[in-house]
Amino acid sequence: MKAFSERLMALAFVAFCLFYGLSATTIAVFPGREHELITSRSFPYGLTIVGLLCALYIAVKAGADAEAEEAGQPVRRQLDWLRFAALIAVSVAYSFLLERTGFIVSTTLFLAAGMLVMGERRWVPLIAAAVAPPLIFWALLEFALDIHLPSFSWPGA
Amino acid sequence: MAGLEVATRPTNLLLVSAGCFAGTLIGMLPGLGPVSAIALLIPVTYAFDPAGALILLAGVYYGAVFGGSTSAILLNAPGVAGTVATTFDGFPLARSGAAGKALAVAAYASFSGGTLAAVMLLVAAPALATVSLSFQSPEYFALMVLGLIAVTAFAGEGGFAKSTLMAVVGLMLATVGTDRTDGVMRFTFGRLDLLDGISFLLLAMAAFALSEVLLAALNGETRQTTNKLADMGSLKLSRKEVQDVAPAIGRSSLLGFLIGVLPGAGATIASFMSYAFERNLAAPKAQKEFGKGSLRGLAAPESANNAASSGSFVPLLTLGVPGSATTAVMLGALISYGINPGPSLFVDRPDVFWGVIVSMYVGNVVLLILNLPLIPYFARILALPQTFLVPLIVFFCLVGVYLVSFNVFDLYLMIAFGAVAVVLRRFRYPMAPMIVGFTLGGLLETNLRRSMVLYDDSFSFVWERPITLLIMVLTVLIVLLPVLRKRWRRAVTD
Repeated sequence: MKAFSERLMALAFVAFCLFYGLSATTIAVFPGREHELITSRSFPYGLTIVGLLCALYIAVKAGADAEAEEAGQPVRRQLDWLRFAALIAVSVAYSFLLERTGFIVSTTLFLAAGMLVMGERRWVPLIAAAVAPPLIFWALLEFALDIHLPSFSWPGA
Repeated sequence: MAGLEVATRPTNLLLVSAGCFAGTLIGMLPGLGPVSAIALLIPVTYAFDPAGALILLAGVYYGAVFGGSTSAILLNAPGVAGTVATTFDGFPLARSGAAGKALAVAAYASFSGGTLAAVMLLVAAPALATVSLSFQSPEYFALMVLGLIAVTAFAGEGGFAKSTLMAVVGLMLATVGTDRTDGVMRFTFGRLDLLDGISFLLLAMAAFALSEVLLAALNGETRQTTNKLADMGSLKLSRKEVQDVAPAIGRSSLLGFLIGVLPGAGATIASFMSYAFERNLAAPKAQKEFGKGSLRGLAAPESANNAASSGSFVPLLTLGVPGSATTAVMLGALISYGINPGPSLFVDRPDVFWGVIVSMYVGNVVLLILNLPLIPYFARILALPQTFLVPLIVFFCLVGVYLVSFNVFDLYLMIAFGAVAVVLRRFRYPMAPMIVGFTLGGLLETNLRRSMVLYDDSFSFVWERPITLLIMVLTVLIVLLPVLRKRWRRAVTD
């Protein structure tokens, strides 16, 4: 199983390198330099070749190594994919809300949701830890460093 | 003597102390490295005479570098490229309950690196400036290759093929954006957000800090998880640890200073190269500790980083050439004070020239006195339960990146990179070579293309230029040394 997933990962890199190499063919060449040996495409082409060679080597060699290693591996611990996905979803939502609802509101909501996702259920510390950091951070940037973060504005205002 | 007199004036001592303190605080904030710290404080410096203003800025510079190391060690969040190598052993040390010792070693190493560099600056500044001018594109290209190979060869986790592949991925990501030579767009897919390329901070935060906390969430680390991080450990080093760390600091300071003198090379290459150098030099048993919490592995990049920061002042003060983004901002400040840095600076304005050099040393002393007592308070951050710490670190990562560009697109990109980094780390693909590849990619390509143009589209610059050839031979040796060492050991045992 480990060898299979190692190979799959290496093949994902092969696909990435091929995509990168194909995209490199669409790079515009500076007018008048079409016939030069080194253009804007040359470096990406070189990288594609080295990347492909490495990924193919790993697919063949590392896959075989993983098969050999597999027997001696300890049992893997249970992974919490749901919590991982929830944390990413909360982060994406924060990015979406940051400029729409302002820094303080979005950060407070993000921290509270993040702590809930991580399993915190003590409400008083949770609220304190969700409200205090954005306020302190905002005040520090606004008044001490003169850096302005997005603020809340009513729709249509 | 003029420098000593200027640097030890009570006002200037106060300025360097205030600079170090403000720099440390700003450097610890995500997204605000030495460049931002200096830029933010330039308006404040107009109230002082030029020497005092520069002394304040030098203090801010050192403070911000040290502040960056603190967040790199405690949170695995390297705010600037120069502190990426600090995370390799600093964060594992903090995780294993030795956060106090890790911060103390970082403080001692930074102090020693900065001090040794200040002495070297005092003795050899004008002579070194001339040597640095003999470095041209082929030498820079060779130096970049050396830096890249040095990290790739010793990345450890996952083997050489995976390290090389990750370095290539880093180089690929560095090609995104507007091509520096021709000005054409590459891999932007029509998005204006990608015209300037991917930001370093975004990639570094995603690869290290964000992926670290996402991994913690994936592994189910919650409040109930036994948290060794709460234990700060002792600040004291044993005699054996001192004996182990001291020579590494000496070597790395020298290496860091010499690399820092070269315009464009700077603290990043210096820290990576000194890390790789120390790892290669270590005995096989000590070598295995690198990446898992080696004090030597932490001391090397920290001292090199600081020494290179001092070294970068050589071209600035003697030639008027800024060697890094930070010194470029300082050059702007110098010009706005009515001072023209260049060969005549230490004749026309000896108070400024020597005052800044001596204040570097004073700054290091102040930094040590200020920060050692604060270490227990810094390390308390880690005592927070994971349920609070994880969302707070994600917040720091996201806001840090947002503060650089004020562009939400960067946040989406960072989250995507962070998720991919988690998968890659689970398959033991090392992140360090990718970051090094990304950091050096632009310069590597530009210098390669310039060298090819200089030598009529041929690679002959590699063997026709002695310094380039020497660096290339060193690069090959770095790759071959572990193999040769293994064969030698086998031959001895047989």
